[in-house]
Amino acid sequence: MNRKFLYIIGLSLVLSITNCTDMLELEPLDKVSSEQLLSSQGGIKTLLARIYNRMPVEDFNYVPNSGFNRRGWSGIGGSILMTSFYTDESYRSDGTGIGPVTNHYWPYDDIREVNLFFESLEQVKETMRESQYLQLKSEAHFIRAYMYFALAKRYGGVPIIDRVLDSEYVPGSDNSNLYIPRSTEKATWEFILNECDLAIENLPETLSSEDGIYRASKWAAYGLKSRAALFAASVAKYWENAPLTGEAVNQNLVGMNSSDASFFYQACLDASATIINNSGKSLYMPNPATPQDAANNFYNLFLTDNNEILFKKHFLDGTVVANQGHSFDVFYNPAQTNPGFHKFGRFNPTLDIVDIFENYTDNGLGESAKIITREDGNEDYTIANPTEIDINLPFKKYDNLIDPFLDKDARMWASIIVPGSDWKGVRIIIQGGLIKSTGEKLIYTDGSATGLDGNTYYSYGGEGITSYSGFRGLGQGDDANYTSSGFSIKKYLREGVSVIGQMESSDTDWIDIRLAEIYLNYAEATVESGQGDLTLAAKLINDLRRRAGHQDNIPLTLENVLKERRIELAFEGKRYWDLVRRRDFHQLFAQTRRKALIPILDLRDENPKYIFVRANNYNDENAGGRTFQPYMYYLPIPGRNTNDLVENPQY
Amino acid sequence: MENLKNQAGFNRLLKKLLLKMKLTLTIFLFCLAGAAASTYSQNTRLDIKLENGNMVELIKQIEAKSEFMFYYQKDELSELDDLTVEANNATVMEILDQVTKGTGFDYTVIERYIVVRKVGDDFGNDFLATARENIAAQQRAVSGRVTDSGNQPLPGVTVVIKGTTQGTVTNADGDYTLTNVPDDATLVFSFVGMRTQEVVVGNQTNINVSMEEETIGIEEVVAIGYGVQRKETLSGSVSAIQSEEIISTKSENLINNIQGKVPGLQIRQRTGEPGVFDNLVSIRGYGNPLIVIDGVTRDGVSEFAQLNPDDVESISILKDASAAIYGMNAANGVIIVTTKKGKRGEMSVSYSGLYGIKGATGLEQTVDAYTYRLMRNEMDKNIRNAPYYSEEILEKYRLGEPGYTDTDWIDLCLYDWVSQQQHTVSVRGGSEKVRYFSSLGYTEDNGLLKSDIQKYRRYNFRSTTTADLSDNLELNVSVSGRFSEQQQPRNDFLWVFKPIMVNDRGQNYHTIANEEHMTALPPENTNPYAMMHEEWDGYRRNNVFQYQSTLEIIYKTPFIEGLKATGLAAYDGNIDNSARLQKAYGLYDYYTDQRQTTYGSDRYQSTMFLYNRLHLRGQLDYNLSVNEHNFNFLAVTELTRTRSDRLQGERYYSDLYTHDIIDQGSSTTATNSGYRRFGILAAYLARVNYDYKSKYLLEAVARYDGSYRYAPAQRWAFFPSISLGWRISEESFISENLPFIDNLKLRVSYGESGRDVGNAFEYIAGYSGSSASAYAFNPGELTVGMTAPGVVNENLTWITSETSNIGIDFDFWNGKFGGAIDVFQRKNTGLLATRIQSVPNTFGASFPQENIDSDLNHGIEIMFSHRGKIGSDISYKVSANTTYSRLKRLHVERAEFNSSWDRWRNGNENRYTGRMLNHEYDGRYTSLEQYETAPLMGGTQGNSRMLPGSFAIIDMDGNGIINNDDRTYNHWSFGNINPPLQYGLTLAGTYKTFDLNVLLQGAALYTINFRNNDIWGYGRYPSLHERFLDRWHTKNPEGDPYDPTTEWIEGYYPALRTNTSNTTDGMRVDVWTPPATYLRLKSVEVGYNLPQGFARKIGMKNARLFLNGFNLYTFTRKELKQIDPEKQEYDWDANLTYPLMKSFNLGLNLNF
Repeated sequence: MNRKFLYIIGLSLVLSITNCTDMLELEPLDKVSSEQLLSSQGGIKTLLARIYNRMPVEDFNYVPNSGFNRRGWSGIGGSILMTSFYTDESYRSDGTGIGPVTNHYWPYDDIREVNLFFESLEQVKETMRESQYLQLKSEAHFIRAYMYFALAKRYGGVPIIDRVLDSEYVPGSDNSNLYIPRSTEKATWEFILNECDLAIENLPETLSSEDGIYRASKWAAYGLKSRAALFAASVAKYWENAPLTGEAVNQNLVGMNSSDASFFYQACLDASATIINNSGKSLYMPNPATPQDAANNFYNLFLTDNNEILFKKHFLDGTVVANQGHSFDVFYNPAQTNPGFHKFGRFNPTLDIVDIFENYTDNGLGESAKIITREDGNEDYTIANPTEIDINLPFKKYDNLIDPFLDKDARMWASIIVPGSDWKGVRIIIQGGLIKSTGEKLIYTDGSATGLDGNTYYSYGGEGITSYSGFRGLGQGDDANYTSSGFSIKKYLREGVSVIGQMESSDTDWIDIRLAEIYLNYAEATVESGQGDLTLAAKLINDLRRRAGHQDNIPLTLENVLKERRIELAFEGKRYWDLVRRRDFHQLFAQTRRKALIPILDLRDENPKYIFVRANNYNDENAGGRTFQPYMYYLPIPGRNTNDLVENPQY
Repeated sequence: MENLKNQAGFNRLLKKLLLKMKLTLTIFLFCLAGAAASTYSQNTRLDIKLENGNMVELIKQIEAKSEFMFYYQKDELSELDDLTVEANNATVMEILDQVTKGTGFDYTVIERYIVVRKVGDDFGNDFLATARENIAAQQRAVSGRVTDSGNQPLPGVTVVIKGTTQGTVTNADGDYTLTNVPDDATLVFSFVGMRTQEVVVGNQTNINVSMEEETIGIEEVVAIGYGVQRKETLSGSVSAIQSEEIISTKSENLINNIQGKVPGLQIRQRTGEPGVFDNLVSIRGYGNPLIVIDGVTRDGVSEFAQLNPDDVESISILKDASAAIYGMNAANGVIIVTTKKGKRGEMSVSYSGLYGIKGATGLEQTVDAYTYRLMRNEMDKNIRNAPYYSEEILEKYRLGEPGYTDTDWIDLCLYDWVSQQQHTVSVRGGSEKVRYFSSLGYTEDNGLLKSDIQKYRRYNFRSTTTADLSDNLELNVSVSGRFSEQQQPRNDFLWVFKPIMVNDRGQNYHTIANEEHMTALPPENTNPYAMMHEEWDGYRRNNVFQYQSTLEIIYKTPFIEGLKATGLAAYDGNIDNSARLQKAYGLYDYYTDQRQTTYGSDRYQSTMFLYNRLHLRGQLDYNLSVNEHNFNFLAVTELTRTRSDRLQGERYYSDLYTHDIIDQGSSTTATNSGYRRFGILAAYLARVNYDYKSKYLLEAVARYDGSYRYAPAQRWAFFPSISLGWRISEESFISENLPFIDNLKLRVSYGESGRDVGNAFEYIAGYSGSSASAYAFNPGELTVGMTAPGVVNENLTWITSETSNIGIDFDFWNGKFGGAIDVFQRKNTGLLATRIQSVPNTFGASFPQENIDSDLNHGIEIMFSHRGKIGSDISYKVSANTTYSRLKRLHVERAEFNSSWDRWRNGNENRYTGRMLNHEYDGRYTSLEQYETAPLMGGTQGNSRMLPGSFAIIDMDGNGIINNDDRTYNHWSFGNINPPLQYGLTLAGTYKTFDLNVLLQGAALYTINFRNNDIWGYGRYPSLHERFLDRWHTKNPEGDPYDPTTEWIEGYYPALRTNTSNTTDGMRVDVWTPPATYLRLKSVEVGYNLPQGFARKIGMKNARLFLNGFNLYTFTRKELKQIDPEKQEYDWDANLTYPLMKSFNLGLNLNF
């Protein structure tokens, strides 16, 4: 009986193990509540890091057709791209079309986080120093301005949402209050400039390493304002060059009146002048002794910390710290110095931009010096398919691959690897073919021939696929890893640092805003509006040329300003937006073929010589040329079936 | 006269004989009619009333009122007439005494047989003798011995005379004796886990029985949720498979062993890589089922796959509402594994083992370097390009000059055959009070890479003890575990395999100048030879120690008959340690020997993952039978707590590599990561089973389930289910009229169950950090950013599945034709989706997972079986099954369609899955002229790039242009698909001491994609697969392909070209995604049992030698044979998965 009693107790114990309603209560271990987060300075910093991370900086990890901060396979997805490839200054070796950036940037989630940050700041206002509170608030304005700028330049006017809408969402209702319409393009630009002003108000002039040197300073905010105002002014002034029609135009959601231009030009001038006069920022190495020094300086400008920089973004080696690196050195070294990844050598500067650079005649005119390929001066000759060249045309014969480039602007030497350059201790061989001693052509194909001197010469300039950097794999789609333009990128590429052949192994900083751009903004705003200081503008242009080793002064003309801008800011991602804001794109690209320079070894001479053939870009030619349509100046509004916004014209 | 006399004598003799026969028959029938009554009381009392009747009338009356049987001569008895008898409650003797007294007649009674004759007459003596004999026979004792199929004495077997409660139990030697056995009796031998046998006693006195382990049959007991049930009273759709059927297929993966054998269980083996257990397993297309091992929900499918098949007693598959008893996670059905337990009897030691060789079932082959180059030039010609390779280079490769030789990468890197082995030793036995089973298993599997870097080793152990602590108290303790080691190349196999398949065969793995210098090989710039060698590239190793322990106490309450209480505690754990060593090495240019790149980096990574789970359960079972109304009640309460911890560390090392230990790396490069997670599930459940005479069946379940995952208000779920069964064969109108029907059962079930899905703690708003949202404010200093919460969902809850099933089981002519047909349906509601439509995309907040979507599976499964014998030596069994199941999406949350075309094209609401958009193939164009009228390819090129041999594509929209709009849903899909139609056929037979097991298995209604340009498409990489030589090409190799007069030779593939743009050649039609329908000879096993006598002589109870083959032959389309249609394309649909394996094994089963 006693035992029976024990059994019953045991049984009821077993049955009661789950007899507790709270037994399912657990706490999430990977979530932090806002109370926890906002109770410490460190917490605020993590929130700040997050919104900085979300800034749409068009850096090394910006892939125009897929988005910002794209890394790893998900990021590149087979399309390793820079905005620069969408312009006339470069293309990818396997071919990139011209067209709008199509990444559907629509960062209202990020904007919500910035708005949440404002709310969070109010919650902890009492617990921090006022100066710190104000600085953080201004920083958030800076970031919000940056985001709206990225929106405005893509879509024109957009819905302006400057508060957190969470509490206004009612599940199950029609939520009509959440459908905030697009503002006009003008109002959107005004909002951006106003945000810049709010940012400027309380940002510090100098950044201490205590707070972090990669944060926004007052000058970064001025710089952003200068850039945004110039953009808005240009749209207002040049809208009529590519006018559109439609509901969005009727409601002024895209487009502005030319009468609006002067306001924005003035804003640009004011912001730029403040930087120029008050920031204490200066050009890096403004007075080089020789063009050679100038080239070194200009190359180093992008690899060192210096006083020319207004805003930059930092990277860490992503093979060590995941998601923090970029892959510039991996993707864009020429084939001969490929660090070991299977996609490389893809950044191909065009002959178009190489032609633009001056030489050092320094006659005060600042004319471009086209590469000389012919004895008869006919540099308009361009062939569609180099395999079909007439070898008896009067091509100029050079002894060395590098000879045609020798007298070019220091900035070309700092920005572009030309055939025959020495890079990382390797002579970079870029050769598109050879002409056998018999006159037979071996162009765009792998092969060899014996010269009259009895030596064996290879069509691509070397025997193995690692001994040259050009023209192999044309038309091979994703496996085209050899330059098809005749040139390779140098700006931002590190010569002294070797990375491992993996994605994200680079940690070079991205310079987002530098003083040279502000100079160019000021000069452009001045010549376009007639409102600025002409003398100062001319000086600024020539200061930039002086830094590149030029000794003369050229006159302040719109053409000179724009040419300087192309040269100075080449491959920095600015060209695409310059073509957009000034409505030059559709005029520049109408079944247009970008150009390549094909070095060909001529074995008909006792001493083999090089000829250089101007040719159309292989892929542009195959595609029948590249065209940019006026409607592409604005991108389609993403997700219209959810947001009921007015669509941009022709979508 | 003599003759006449003789004649009369003969007649008399004949008469007697006939009479005797008749009598015997009569008595025999009597015995049967008299049913089981073993003695007929001579004290039976009767009421008789006869007035002026004769004796015969009296006898008739007695016979009518009792079971007595009279034997008499009618003529004789006519003398006794004018009788008047009035007897009340009198015995027969009293009555007969009364009427025969003084008449010259008397009577003799033996049991209920009565002879009435003249005094002294010998008439009826024969009758009496026969009666005596029969009666004596009826009452004899029967004894014998019961053994198992291994000839081992089987103690504890219940032996009962059928239809009575009279019976006994075999003793420790398996012996039994039953007295008072009527010879019309049938003995029923039954034992848990064995097939119940019935033996008609007849005139035997010694009956030895060899019990067979249970196989599918009507008397079978199968494991169901929280218990077992006789198959005949099952009302749910449950399939079971027993030990011997499982192990008739041999592989390292238990899932492969049961593929094709169970109706409704859909399986696809995705890869044959050693140590990878990722088969697609699904019950009726529902998705990964819940795995219950010995009554406890353990880890998932991969754990199940790694059980030692020799330890498994049986596997039950719960396919319909019968699974609902497991509630929250049972929506996909349940697989219940019962492992072997101890049993009474002397110790039995078994060994089973095999050694085998295995090789790829299919592998693409590449053409040699010279042929590739010829083809490459042909490709260039076909796209109007200059030939890539000059005549000079071609000539060098043709002659194989130094530096221009061919390297067969497949041959260099992959074995044709590798070895595998498996061994299990087990001990089983027990005394009256304690039973035990222990086993130790070893499995070895080796990979194809010639560096021997791919290995899998597994050690399984299991030990269970059952002890009767007292008459009422039973204790089960079970401990089992697995230790496995897997080693692989440092890179995923895909990255080693890809260069093997696509590398240029014109180069070698080392440079021409230096054998020590590994080459950087196009197109990947990697070197597969280096990648597969540990000393160059490193390795990955994964060690898992997994243990499971169960303690169970069962108390049969003595005070309430039929009530049983069970307490169970299970503690399981997993220690998973993986290590990765990566080494950096230089890669050189093949020709120039220049160092081209450094591949990889020097680092070491170690990951420790700990997982454990505590499961507690209390259970009450109560059996009650009232007048053939049988009830079984069950009540359970259970709780499961889980915890997982992960820690990963990594360091680089610089110049010196010592050991693969974190501390040996440079501390400045240390990085690490880790997490900890908890989970709790709880449940209350109750079940009632009811049957009336095993004829009308009912099961009803109610389960109340809770998960920590959801908000307090959403935590608890209620899942009811019900199933009904009707055994039509038990109805008299069937059993009397259609006796060939042994079993016919109709089943209907409906149940609800759930799936515990969704992000945990979705109801709590909280920030979370990730390095992907970090920002560096200072050089090298990273601040991890905290991401703001989105909108929270307090209503997130489980997915509800409603499962319905209608089924029929039948068995005719004693197994000659049996089977089951089930029609099933499952509707899921509350599938997770993120709301899209309710707010504009400028709202900004991410929406949480919500229970929005729904879908519906339905299908049919059919199983037929046939058992038979040919002569006395051959017995065989054939069983075929097939399952067809489709999934239809009902609601799919998505943005509104732009147009009805958009809906047709991109919508999948109310549409079956498994179909894809494809172009419609309409043969080939055979000449260039045809392109003048053919629809245009579009673009600026028109049809100018098309060549003879290109696909003719139907211009669906008739606009004269072939583009994506012309595609229709005319094709089955490829990819990560468990094929919707699967079938299997098992043939098992024995001939004398030989046995044979054959399994055919197959699947259909899906496709294989091998168009993937990245790998298999030609022209992209410097290699070409052999099959592409079967191509359209010009008859004259020099011929101009674009000249209309050029003669062509037809092939299976279109003309080769380096890129297929502006042609139809790359369009997805059957040539690139062929239907993968296949039927394969999955396994064949031939066994030979050593003669018993011989086996005993060498000290064994029995011994069996077998030869086994796995994945022997596949019937499928020609072009899929080199790939294997079952294997999955996997990442990027690249078909670079490790090949499936075929194997040949030689093995032994020994029993001591």
